[in-house]
Amino acid sequence: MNLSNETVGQDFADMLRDSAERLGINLEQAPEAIRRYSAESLLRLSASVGQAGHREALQAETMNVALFSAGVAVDSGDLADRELVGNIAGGLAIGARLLAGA
Amino acid sequence: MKKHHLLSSILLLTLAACAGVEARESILMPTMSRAYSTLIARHVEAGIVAQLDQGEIDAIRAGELRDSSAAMQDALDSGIRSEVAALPWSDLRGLAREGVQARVARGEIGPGVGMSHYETINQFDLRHAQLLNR
Repeated sequence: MNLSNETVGQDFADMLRDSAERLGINLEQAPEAIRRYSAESLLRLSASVGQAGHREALQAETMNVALFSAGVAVDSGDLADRELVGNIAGGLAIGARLLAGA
Repeated sequence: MKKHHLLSSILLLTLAACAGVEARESILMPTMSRAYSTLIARHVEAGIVAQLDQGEIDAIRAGELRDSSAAMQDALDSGIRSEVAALPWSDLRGLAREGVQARVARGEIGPGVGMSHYETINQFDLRHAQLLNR
């Protein structure tokens, strides 16, 4: 299977969006810090294109965004933000776990 | 007036602290638990195997380390912060990093995949510190 950076980026973006949509979350509403961290994740993911175990990187990066989001949620002083970001963290952590069986 | 302001401030601080505890229990620990069971435990196991292969530890020590890893999963599942705090995360973290390193060295995963796994360990480490410091 010939994977390009675009394919990987799309996989990851789809994964994030699907996990969020299942919970009725619009990721565009996520705080700037999370969107920035997701972009960093995508860069790391791009670095593993074509490497052995690439699927694991997709799973790891999904979990990385979940863990980062959980940290943001705990530090958030706003209840609505905390709920939104908490849902993002929970949804992505479940998504990463599902990827393990994919 | 000043007394009223002070009481309001204390009430707000108390509510904020309660919200922090609630977020820790309802968001942070469940996310850490999923990360541990899905990824970190696997890295720790790879680290134990690597140390066994290199003769750095014996089977008895490997068993102890596996018990510690299982205890960490149980503690995270329990949602009780003191149980997590009582376990040697720094030892498990070292094993997890070694496990990823060994898999990269064997060519089982590429270096870029290894970087993603190192970042998971790093993020878990940050959340662990956040959990214990709040």
